[in-house]
Amino acid sequence: MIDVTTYIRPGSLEEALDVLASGEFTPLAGGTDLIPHARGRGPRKMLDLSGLSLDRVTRTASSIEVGACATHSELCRDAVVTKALPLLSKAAALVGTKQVRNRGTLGGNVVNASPCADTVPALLNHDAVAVLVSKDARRKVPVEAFITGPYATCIGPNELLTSIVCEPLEKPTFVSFLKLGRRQAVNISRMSLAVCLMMDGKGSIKGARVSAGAVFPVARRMREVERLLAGESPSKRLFAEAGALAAQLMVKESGVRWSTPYKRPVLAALLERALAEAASGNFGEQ
Amino acid sequence: MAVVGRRVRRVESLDRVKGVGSFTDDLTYAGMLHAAVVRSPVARARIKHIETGRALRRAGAEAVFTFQDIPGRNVVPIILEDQPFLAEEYVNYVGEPIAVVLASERETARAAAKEVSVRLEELPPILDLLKARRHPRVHLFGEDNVFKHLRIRRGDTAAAFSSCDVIVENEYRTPYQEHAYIEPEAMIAIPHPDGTIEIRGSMQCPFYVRKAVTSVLGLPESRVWVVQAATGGAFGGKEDVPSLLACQVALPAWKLKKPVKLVYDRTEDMVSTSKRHPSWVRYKSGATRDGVLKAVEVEYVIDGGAYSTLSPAVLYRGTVHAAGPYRCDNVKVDSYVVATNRVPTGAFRGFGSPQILFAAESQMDQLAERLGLHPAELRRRNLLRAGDTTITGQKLTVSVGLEETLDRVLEASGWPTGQKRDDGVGYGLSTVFYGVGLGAAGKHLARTGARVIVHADGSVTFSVGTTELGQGMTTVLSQIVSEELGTPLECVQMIAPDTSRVPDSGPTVASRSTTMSGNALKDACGKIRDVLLAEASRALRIPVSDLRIVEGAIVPAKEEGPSMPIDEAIKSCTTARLPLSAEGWHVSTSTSWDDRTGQGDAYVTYAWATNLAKVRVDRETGEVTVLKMWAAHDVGKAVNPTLAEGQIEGGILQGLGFALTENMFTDERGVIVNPDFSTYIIPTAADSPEIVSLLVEHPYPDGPHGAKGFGEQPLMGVAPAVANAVRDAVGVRITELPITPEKIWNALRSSRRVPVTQR
Repeated sequence: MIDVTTYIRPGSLEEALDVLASGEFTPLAGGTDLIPHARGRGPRKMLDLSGLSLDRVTRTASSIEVGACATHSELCRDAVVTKALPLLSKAAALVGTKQVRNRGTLGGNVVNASPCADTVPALLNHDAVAVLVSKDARRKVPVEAFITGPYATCIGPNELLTSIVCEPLEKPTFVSFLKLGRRQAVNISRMSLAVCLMMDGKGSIKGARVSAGAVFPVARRMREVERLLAGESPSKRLFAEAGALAAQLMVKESGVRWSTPYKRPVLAALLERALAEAASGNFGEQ
Repeated sequence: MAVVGRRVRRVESLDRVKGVGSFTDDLTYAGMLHAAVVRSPVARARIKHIETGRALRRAGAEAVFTFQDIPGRNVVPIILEDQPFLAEEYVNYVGEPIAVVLASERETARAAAKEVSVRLEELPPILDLLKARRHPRVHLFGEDNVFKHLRIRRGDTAAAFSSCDVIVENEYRTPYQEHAYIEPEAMIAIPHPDGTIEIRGSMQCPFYVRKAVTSVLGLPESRVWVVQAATGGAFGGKEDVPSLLACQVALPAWKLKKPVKLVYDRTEDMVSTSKRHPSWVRYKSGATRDGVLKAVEVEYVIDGGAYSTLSPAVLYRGTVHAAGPYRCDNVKVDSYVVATNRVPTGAFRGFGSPQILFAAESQMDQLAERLGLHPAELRRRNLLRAGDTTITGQKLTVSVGLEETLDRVLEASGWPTGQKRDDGVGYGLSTVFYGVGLGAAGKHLARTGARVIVHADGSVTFSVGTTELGQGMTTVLSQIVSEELGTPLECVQMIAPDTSRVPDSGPTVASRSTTMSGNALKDACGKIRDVLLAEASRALRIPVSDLRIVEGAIVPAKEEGPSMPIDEAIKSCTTARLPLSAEGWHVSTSTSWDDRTGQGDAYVTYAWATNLAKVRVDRETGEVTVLKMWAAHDVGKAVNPTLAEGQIEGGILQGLGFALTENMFTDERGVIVNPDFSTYIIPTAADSPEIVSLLVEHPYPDGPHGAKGFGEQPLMGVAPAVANAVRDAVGVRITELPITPEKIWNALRSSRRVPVTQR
């Protein structure tokens, strides 16, 4: 049974922030993580965000602002997101099931901060910034800094994540997103990789963005790998080196576990594959 | 035949889609209390003290019952009667019931159950099935921890192996498989003022439940009335376990004189209820150069858990199916079910046969490889045909459609036989069989009853003792009744299975409902037909022997002459005060088993099947994608082809879970590590390959309209077909289920590519 003692569904952001000011309420978006938690020792006071219209996608000159309550399904079909942030769209399409994607939100996925959250590696590649507001303040924190550990963030008890601002990458950029799991749906990532290759006019990699989920305690950009790729021409050898480096980083940071003998070579192979897929241009260009 | 053989829609389908249903947790009664079960947190311990004071002080808590409150026998009567209903001196597995707590609300009962403190003196548990067998010090059951040992002795294996050109010997392992039915176990008991007690719940076997409740409460069977509620899936998991739940509600209901409901939550269900037996198999097979299977030696050990429950029967089926559907003159099988300090395992679709068939069919492919024969060719040279004798010495006479299932699959699949391409794609075959019904191990239960009433308005109700579990029994039996009486299908209604309506009809297991209840219904309908035809004969002045029922009318067998609508015949019988109701009864043809040699007519008949899996293996990640599956089953007669195909599709998906992802295990203290659906990975609809279902019909003369049971068979051969396909795809042989990416990756890494025989 869900033992929720107080439930409030405000109709305006101001009202919501007033309630949150007490520091006692947990914001409820899609509930796909929160409600299962609430069956156990989860939160008892909930603030439902569904009346706040926080699900809009807004395009500005230099960035795209995605409302925190945009559902994964919306990210899959929104014209702006699919065109300008194809990685995010692809990652959202791999979350849970249709039912979970219809309820679950981008903001929820980020605040829950699971090491295997599907959208986070995509967001990292877009230098995404979380917009946090409280009754008397508003601040912007890069998603990379926002998530501080497994299931931990720097959000204050009186703060609300209202949107996430993403920077589209300059053209031409080739992307790919790969996910390793144990089945085709309701599939918790055992590994996810988001890759962006920004190309110069001569066929070389001008810059790269490579992020990994479920590989490190916290999803993160692999800047070591990005540096290795920058300035080089795409080649099988280069991508294999990048894969090997990623595997090295994983062992260094996550330590050796029962799954390491398998995961080390598989991460290397998958990153190589993701890079080759991005370079082929098959997956998508933005 | 108008109705039998037709693809009519499942009776419940529309209600299920609309969310209409009377599942146990939908039912409520005035004054009803809720129960929660106090369970052992450890795998083995002596109970020192049970302290209930704190739990009883919680607001809303009503009572706590332990074994001391049981008026009858503290035993769950199944086969060996070694399982207590509530633990007394010892607990023997994590999750074993110790006490039942009652409260006005479910959550209160669950919270109070946590406050019952049980002081335990922990003992070292025995968790490994091979270590448990003949353990020198710990005796969980008898002297050797063996619940049952079965053997087959046929021919002379030692001599036969010496004349074989190839011998393959291997060990195989399979883990638990959890039933993962949609609806967890659930039960309600309602005591009545007349001294009877009514039990309603999710169950396969109302008569088992009745026996358990009469035993625990010390009541005669006449005072315990059991009705099946709509049941959301079972797969064997609701064969024996509901007996436990029924007692967990019946005892407090009886004592407190109030209705009591109990619904397990998912984790509780996964931790404490039965599963497929984990297995260990050592398998040796030998063949001659020309591809004749000469000898098979099998040692088969399965983990029965802390109490024997249905294990001896499970072992029986596994033993009979040990050599696969082949002729083999020299066979030695020793099979054991052992006691461990783990949750009691029990019935699960296939009932001890999927584990051994995984080994047997993996062996066949290895023989084929060593002999340089195509896997289909080796099987064709050995498969059982009419006139052959099984490894138990049973002579097969009719309804042996195995070879046709093989032909149909080969034809439909267009399995390429040319040069093998190095693209990670492979094909894998399995041919399997299924002994229909309970067989000699359960022959005392091999009877079933039915009751049919034709009402004055022409509508018909019928009752049987077997249950609807989602398999489509209600629809199939309604079709049979409609066919027999000429009543339109929409006018035929099944009454929920109820122990007060028909005599003990045995359990709903062993794919037996269509044949057993179908035959009993035919018997009952036949008696009513006699009355109707006699009445029509009088009116039409045509001898009964020249009349038939065709599409709602009684007509002369020869085309000409007067006819009479059924409705009119019914009216006429009603006016004449003739009884249009009858009881039907069916007893299986005899089976036999010699415990010393394992020889006998093990089952009344067999269903047969061929499966072919097409897979792609990712060499870098070890992931297997099942691209397509073909399955042909000899079902005797498909009373409803759509439902038969549904069984095939569902069985394949459940079999793919067993083959590839489902991996429940315990830690070193005997605690199940993954009792939830985020870590126990069952396949989803998105994981289903394209499935080609092929129905083969070699009629079984003793089945209704030629039908045989086969509901379990679709799962049974899936794992070996996949294992064989993986071998074909990337050259590695996985002998332990599930076939995880890690295992394939490791095998690829260590094997350095053993080349697959080219063909």
